Amino acid sequence: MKKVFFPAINFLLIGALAGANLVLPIFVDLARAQSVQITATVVATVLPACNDTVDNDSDTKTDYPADPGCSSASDNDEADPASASSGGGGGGGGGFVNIPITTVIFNGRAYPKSAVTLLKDAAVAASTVAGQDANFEITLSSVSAGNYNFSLYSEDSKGRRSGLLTFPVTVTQGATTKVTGIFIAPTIDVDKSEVKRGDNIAIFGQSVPQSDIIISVNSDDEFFGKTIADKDGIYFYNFDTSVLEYGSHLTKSKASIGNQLVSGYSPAISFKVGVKSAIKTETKILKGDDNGDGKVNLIDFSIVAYWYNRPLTAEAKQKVDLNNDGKVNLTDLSILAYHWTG
Amino acid sequence: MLFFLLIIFSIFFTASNTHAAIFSFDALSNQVRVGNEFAIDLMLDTEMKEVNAVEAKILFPTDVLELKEISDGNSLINMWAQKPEFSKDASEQVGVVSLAGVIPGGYNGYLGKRKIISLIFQAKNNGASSVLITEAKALLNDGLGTAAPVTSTNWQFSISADAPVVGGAPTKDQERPENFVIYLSQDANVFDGKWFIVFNTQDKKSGINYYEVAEDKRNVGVDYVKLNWHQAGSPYVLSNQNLSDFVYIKAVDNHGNERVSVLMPTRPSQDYKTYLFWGIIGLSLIWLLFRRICRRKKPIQQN
Repeated sequence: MKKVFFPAINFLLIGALAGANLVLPIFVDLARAQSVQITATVVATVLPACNDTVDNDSDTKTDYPADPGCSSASDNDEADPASASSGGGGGGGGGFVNIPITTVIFNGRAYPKSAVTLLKDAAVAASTVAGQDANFEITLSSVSAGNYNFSLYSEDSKGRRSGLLTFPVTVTQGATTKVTGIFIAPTIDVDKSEVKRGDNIAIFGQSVPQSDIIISVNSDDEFFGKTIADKDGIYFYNFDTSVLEYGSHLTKSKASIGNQLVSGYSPAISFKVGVKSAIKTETKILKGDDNGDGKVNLIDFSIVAYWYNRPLTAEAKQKVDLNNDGKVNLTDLSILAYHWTG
Repeated sequence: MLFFLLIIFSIFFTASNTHAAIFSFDALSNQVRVGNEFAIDLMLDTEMKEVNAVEAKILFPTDVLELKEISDGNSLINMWAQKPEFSKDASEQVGVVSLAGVIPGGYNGYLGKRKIISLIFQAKNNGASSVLITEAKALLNDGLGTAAPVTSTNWQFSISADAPVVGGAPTKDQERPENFVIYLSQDANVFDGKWFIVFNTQDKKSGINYYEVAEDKRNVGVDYVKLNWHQAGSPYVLSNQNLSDFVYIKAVDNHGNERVSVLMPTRPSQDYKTYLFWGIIGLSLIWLLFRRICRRKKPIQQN
């Protein structure tokens, strides 16, 4: 077993002034050794109708002060007062002014043909399906300017869900903000809930086709293994448990492409090393999913928040007390936020 | 005097940790003119730790400051378990703003310190004092709710008649709150198993002030003035547990801009069936009556 270390690529800033398009470096993320590139590009120059050198109301007069419909150069309507009041069903609008659309574009890699879901401030905003090469792109329009927490997750071909990849983005009015280089962490699972010490445990999941997969097994020491995903992004690794102590252990994985693009780590999953082996059964219960709909979202938050700092009933203790300490407080809300799916 | 003791207590117990989550205030100036309206922002710097839940109380002296508005516009917090609300302590001398909320997925600190809320105050009288942060918590996004070390920095200010006039009060917000979805749910553990709805939206400029609810049998389109609105919060227990009404939710921001979302009836009204039933009965009776009258009037045929 070899220990493998990656250089962490945490920051990448770019800046350029390209023609009329202003490319603004905003920041780069991200946690867990992943980098994401974010740029905001002003794609439309907006000039008021009274300052755009266009005869918007077809009265043969153009812009302020020549056009009597213009009260100033910043006026956005050339329509003459008289013609505007005469009805006639028009005049307004013009159609020449480029209305700036505030847009955010996300692109990156998930898994081949996987569903990718985008959350905007914790609510589902859009979803798409990645291509066979695992690449995806999502465009979000009509976004207000401001600071957002965007999150992405994907589901692999077996319905296993990735962790939530969250990044804060400042959206600029009238600009297209591009978030590129997103690399969703691999999914992960194991074939046994308990493995006899010395036997192998299979660790598997899905990522980008042909990507390098690093598998970490946390014990007192951390052990690393390496494998390569196949053409469908599926990876499989047999881990020899003879190096592990008896007891509970965690495993997680991350992917890299050409030793340059590195994903974050998948959520850690647990298994036990004991004196017998037991096949893992599919009884996955999502923590925080209080209403049992397979999601952790606003509904579950509302149920837990209802009990926040209130005395619990016996039934409520079973469902909403996520850390089993007999009360619902900020800790339970934090656990729920960690397992959020939107 | 009471507030002075609180300041001493706060200074004494403020922890000083490196790599701690730091709560602090941002303001344009700490010298304020009497009568001036100004904003201070409660900020959180996670120091590159991934934090997903925060809780805090803000204390201020009510003899020199009057709280005019609380804004969560452009807040780092997406969901409030306890929406920031103003109250006074038992002595009536200390204003308290309590808050608790979460950031699903966490915030890793790469944008630096971020705003949690803005407080818009009016300076009432001359004096020097502090706005305090107490009981501040920041929990890590680790699935366990582990508490991050926390440091908080109070905001010291002085109010006088000759201080320069500074801005900081929010500019006019003309944007409506963002689109939102209303979720219908039922759970045996809350509201005695009754149907309830949940909703949440954001307003990036002035912040959400309140929500209003209207339940109505009519689909009023966009003619919302026809509805009987009343203020409510999420979650909201539906009055009509038959789920046959349209449910309208209006989000109103701090500058009065509105956004309405509608939840369609899950079980459309059965009224039309009732009307149909009685209509058929009525028509049948009329038809029978008509036949009887016709028979009576039928002339007797004579051979």
